[in-house]
Amino acid sequence: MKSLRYSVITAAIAFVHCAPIACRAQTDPFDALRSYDLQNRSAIHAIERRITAAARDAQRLAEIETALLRVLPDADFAGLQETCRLLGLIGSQRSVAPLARLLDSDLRKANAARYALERINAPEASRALRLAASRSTGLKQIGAINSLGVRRDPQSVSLLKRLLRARDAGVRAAAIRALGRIGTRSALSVLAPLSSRERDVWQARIRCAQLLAREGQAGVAIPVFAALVQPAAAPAARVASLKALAELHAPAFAAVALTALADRNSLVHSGAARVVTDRGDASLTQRVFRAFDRLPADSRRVLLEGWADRRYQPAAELAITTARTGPPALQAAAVRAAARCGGARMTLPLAELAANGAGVAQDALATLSGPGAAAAVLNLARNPQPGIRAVAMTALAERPGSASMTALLKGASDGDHKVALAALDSLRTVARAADVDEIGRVLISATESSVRDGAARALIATAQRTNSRPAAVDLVADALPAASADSRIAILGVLAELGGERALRALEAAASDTGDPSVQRAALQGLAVTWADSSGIPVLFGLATRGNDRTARILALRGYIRLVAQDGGAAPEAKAAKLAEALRIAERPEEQKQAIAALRDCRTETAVTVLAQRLGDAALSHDAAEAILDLAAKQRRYDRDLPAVTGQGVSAALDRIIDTAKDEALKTRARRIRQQGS
Amino acid sequence: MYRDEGMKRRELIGAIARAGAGIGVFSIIPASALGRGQKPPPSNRITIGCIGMGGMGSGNMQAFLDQPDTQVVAVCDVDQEHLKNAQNTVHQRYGDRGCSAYKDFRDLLARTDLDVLSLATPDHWHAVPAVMALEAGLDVYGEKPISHCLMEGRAMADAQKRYGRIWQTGSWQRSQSHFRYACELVRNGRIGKVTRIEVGLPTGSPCGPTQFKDPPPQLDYDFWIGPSRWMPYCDQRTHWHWRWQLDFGGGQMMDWIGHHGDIAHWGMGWDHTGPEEIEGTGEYPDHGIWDAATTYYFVARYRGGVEMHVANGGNRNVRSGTRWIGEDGRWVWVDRGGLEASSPDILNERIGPDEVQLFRSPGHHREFLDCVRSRRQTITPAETAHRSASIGHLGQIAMLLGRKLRWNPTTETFAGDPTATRMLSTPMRAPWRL
Repeated sequence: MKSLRYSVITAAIAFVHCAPIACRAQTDPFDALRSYDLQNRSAIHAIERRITAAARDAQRLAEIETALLRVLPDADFAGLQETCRLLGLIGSQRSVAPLARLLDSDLRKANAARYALERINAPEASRALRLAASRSTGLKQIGAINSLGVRRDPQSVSLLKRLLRARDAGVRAAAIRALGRIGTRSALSVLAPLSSRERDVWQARIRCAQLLAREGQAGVAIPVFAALVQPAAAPAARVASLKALAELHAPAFAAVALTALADRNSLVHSGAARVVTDRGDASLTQRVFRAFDRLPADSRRVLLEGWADRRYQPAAELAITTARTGPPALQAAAVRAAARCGGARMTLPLAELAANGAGVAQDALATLSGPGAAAAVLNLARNPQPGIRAVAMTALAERPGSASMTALLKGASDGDHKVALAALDSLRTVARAADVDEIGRVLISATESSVRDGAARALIATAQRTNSRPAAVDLVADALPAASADSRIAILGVLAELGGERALRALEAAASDTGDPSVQRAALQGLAVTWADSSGIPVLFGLATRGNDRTARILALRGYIRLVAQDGGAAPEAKAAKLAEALRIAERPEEQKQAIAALRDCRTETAVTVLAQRLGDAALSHDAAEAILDLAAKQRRYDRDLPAVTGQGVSAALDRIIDTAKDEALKTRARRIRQQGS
Repeated sequence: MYRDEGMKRRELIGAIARAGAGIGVFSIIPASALGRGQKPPPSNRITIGCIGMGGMGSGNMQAFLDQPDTQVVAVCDVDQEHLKNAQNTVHQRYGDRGCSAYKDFRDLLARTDLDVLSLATPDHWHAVPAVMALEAGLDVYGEKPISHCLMEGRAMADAQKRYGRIWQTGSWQRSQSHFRYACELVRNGRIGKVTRIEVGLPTGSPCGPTQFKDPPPQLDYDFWIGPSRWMPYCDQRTHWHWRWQLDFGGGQMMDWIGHHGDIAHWGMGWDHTGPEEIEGTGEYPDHGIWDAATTYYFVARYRGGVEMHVANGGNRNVRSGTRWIGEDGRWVWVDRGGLEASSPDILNERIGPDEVQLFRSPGHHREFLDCVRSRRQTITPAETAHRSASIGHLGQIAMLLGRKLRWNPTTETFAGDPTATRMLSTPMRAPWRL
């Protein structure tokens, strides 16, 4: 309701505010622009529509420009700012003089005019900005200089050179930056005598040199970068310059790169490492291989990651050696590099690492790609060493395909239980409906408990994931009579998870069969703890009332109460009646309290009446009173308002709490509810 | 710092001196800095400064605080309340008083002990501090959309490449497994050749009349305006509301294009390119100070004729999220709420090792930190974010001009449209520049 009201209001505002301009812009929009209140943009939108309609028609755009220029002299500030913005979009050299006059006004007006001039593609605009940069001071001057830089105005270089001597540090910095953006040889020569210790200077030089290089003047740019890559320069300048030298294929690159790789500054040596791998120079890489062990750890890690990204094959051997014998901090990067650079030929070394516990090697095998990789990983499944076969089984889970499935199903019956378990763990996530039979056979025939448990997990997951529960239940239920005791226990666990009529009957029969106590207990456990739907309720009630074994009766009753409590399809009255039965047959306070707790969710007078009968029981009175108070008051659960349960039975129960409860807090709550109720 | 008129200008003072003006106290060595507890020793920790401590900035800071190998050492905001709250959060987390607080981001960037900048300012305040940080050798985690105008995005992407830094954009959907899987399905041809993409984004709202007044004392409003043109203060101007004003943000469309538009690009492998034609219409409110489009629909055509339809959701049958449609009608749709396809079989497909496998992120902030160490490019570097934001910038220009525009995604220029060309960049108020 609230959101609907909000939507209506929003829609109303939107209608009023977005109604077509033609309905309201009755006056000349250019006149209206003279006094713009910053909230009603009807006039501005009307002008913008004229600009849109004019499209690329120079004559019509010129007419709009003329009209805007008429507004300029007597508009208030907001109107002037908008007029300047529009002139910035369509203005020509005709707009320059009126705008330039504003550069001498106060800062806000001057700014508005400068923004327009910066965008107007006419030499007159540059001239006006140069004049402003030479005559004004402070922020106006800096703004004009910045605009010249944006326009990359080559004719302002001599002016900017003069401004390098300005007392105002801000003006000087702006001039340096503008020279960098202009990016001509003359701009670079003006920057040349300045100290590269200043950040503005080296940044301007780098930018200037990059622009020159982009325009085909690498010969001019390279010496700039070569100077800025030296150890005396700022670390960020060195990395940027090294990168530029690499991109320009400068002859000096290899030597400075090797120096930078070993630099003490981490920003330099890690940055250099990435540049080196991106560059991919074979002879340099050979030199880096030779120096590798002497480089800082950060450099080595970045080199390995870089080679991995490029799948640089010659790095594979170095990478796997590092993974085996290098410092632990480098192992993850080394393994990734070995896998990505070496592909199929690294399969066995990676499997050996994985078998020794390197999880990153296991992950690498799972995603190993390239020619022959799939076959090589499959081949690991036939390796004589069980540890390698187990690694293969785990990797195959991530490598879909029929060959992988065949290998996994075979692996599930491997004589080595670790291999079998790894295969079954993989099958849990990838097996198909057609594989249920094979996994079931492993479950039935397994002699090793871990394999049996693994097969049970795989069978449950596969049957649930592939909607093949009935087939799985039939398979294992058929096998139940002839299975060993251990297998029967595992099968009963599977049946309890999978559910269904046949599973329920099998579990009920096993729970009533006193032939093997451990099997009987497993069946009972399956029903009482695992069984998930209400079909188990009558079976559990029967077991709770008929059994000879007290422990079994208690376990069954607990399961009964659990299933009744979570039976979402049952009416509260029916649930309360079943829980009353549970209270009646319960032999211990523990189960009685469990039933009382479940009654709290039966918001019906019957539940209150049942609970009230326990108010006189010393062991249960407190729990019963709490539950009654909970039911008799409004509650909010899971974002739902639950009404209070009312009725004569509730009032009587509350009165009884007031009269008999030993806990004053309970009495107070009961009185409060009674008062609210009356 | 320079001020607009009405405020006295003072000389820029040295970076170190400015840094000393920070609120933080360095006399107490934090316990965590000594390498005790679960954290690695300081020499192996990534030090982080955060600029912009509103909702997103605080969230990002919290995410970094939760990482085991980081140390947030400085926070910065022009709103003293945001600033103090952020500083207190850090102090409470570390149990010390070692986090410095700055109003002027230049003071924060002047520190020599920072590895990373976390940037979550309004859009108009992205480019200047980001480029300065990259120039200073910092790696940057920056919020989306990366830029306020297209050329600012280009400047940031260029600066990242120029200085060889690491950049992660807050387009965190790329770090969610179901978004990645959707993109892998598309990339690996599970819906055939893609012919159409739909990107559904939220609808905007106009605002009612407002009163202009003095800014609250805790807010340095002039600094907040920063490189944008001057606008008087009102309650609907700043925190959060800036998004709906074209001087500072780009409306719902620009807010979300860096998510669902970004995913659309990821699925197509368009991280380094853009459309070749754009046209559309938008409804820009006449009244109130919020002037960004409330409803919008534009079409971006890419090489090969694939059309991307971007619209506010619930308006023109474009569902929120991203949907790729193949030539035979098969489709995949993804949103934060889930993943759907024209047939359930498509969603049972597994992507093999020899197919296109997109990067499996360990978490968006974690992935960024891993890349800071490895120097590998992140899942959303600046160029990628720039291309994602470009969809929105180009759509915005096309809607404002009301005509079809032809765009060269390689040179990033319009063909034969000087007015559109002028709209690619926004002049900056001095002293700010890129």
